[in-house]
Amino acid sequence: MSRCLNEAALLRIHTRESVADERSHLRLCADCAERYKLLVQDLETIGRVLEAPPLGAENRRRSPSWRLQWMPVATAACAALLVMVVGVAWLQRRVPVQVAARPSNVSAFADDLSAALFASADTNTLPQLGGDAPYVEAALQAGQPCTQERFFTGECNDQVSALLMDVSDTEETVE
Amino acid sequence: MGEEDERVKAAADDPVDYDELYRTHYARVLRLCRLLLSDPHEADDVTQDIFLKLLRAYQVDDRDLAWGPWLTRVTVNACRDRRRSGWWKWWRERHQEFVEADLPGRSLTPEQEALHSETRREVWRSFQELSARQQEVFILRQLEGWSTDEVAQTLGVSPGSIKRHLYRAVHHMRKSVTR
Repeated sequence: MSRCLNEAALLRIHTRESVADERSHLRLCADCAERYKLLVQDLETIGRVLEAPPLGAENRRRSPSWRLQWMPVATAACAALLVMVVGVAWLQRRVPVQVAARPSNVSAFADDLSAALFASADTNTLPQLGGDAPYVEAALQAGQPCTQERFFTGECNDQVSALLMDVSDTEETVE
Repeated sequence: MGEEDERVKAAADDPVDYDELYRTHYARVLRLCRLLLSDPHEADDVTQDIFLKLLRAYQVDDRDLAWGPWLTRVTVNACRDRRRSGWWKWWRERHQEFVEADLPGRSLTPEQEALHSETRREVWRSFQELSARQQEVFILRQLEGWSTDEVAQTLGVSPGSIKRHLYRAVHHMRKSVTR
């Protein structure tokens, strides 16, 4: 081997992982031998420093660029704050707060609701109820549905059936 | 000598009594923790945890185990876990500046005292600039004297990767050594 050894090869020799060519070159080349000696000295120096009492908190002080050191924490905090603000804004947009906030709208809504629930004259809102009701009632009573014939013969002579028949009649009238 | 033979030899060299194990390895484990964590309080804490693990393992495991290498492996893993759990603190601490004047001089050997203060400062700084993996490789390979294969097995990487990490660590740290 004629070429001089690089630092990696010198390190391999130091760690006893080199090949025979590298070792033989080191024996013959004064320049490589000098560089190898420096490498060994450096590693010994580094080893001695690191084996000395290690650094502790008392051996440190805050560096001038300490603001940069807090940058990841500050960035994370800002990101969390942004997510929180966006989340709150999104939630507020979904909830119809304005309706509850205005009493006049509330009372108007209550009036409409009351009229819809208790309107007896508005028969258009009940046809579907009237159509299914006899069967529901029959299911509840485990009996026959109250048809017109059974009603007039008195077999289902109660207030609920009367009401339902009334609805059925109304339906027929409407149709 | 095969790996198994080395393990048996290391086991034979290890003390078998827990108190003796503690006395023999405590300073070394603490030094490793301080090197890997750069924080004496964290290092003390982790060292206590490691010797608690040793006590539990010692009570249930085979007493012929090579406790020295076992402790080193557990130390490296515990320090890695600690760094992961407190990454931000570790990141902040490792960028702090070394102050030579605050070093407790009475604990240093005359040889260490003789080292140029600027060299020591630069060596520590460059060591802290290494990646966590490079630090682990450098400590195990260079300071603890483990073989490349042992380090590779402990860290779970290939021997080639260990050689690359070691070369980069040495190359970087040599720049800090003033002549």
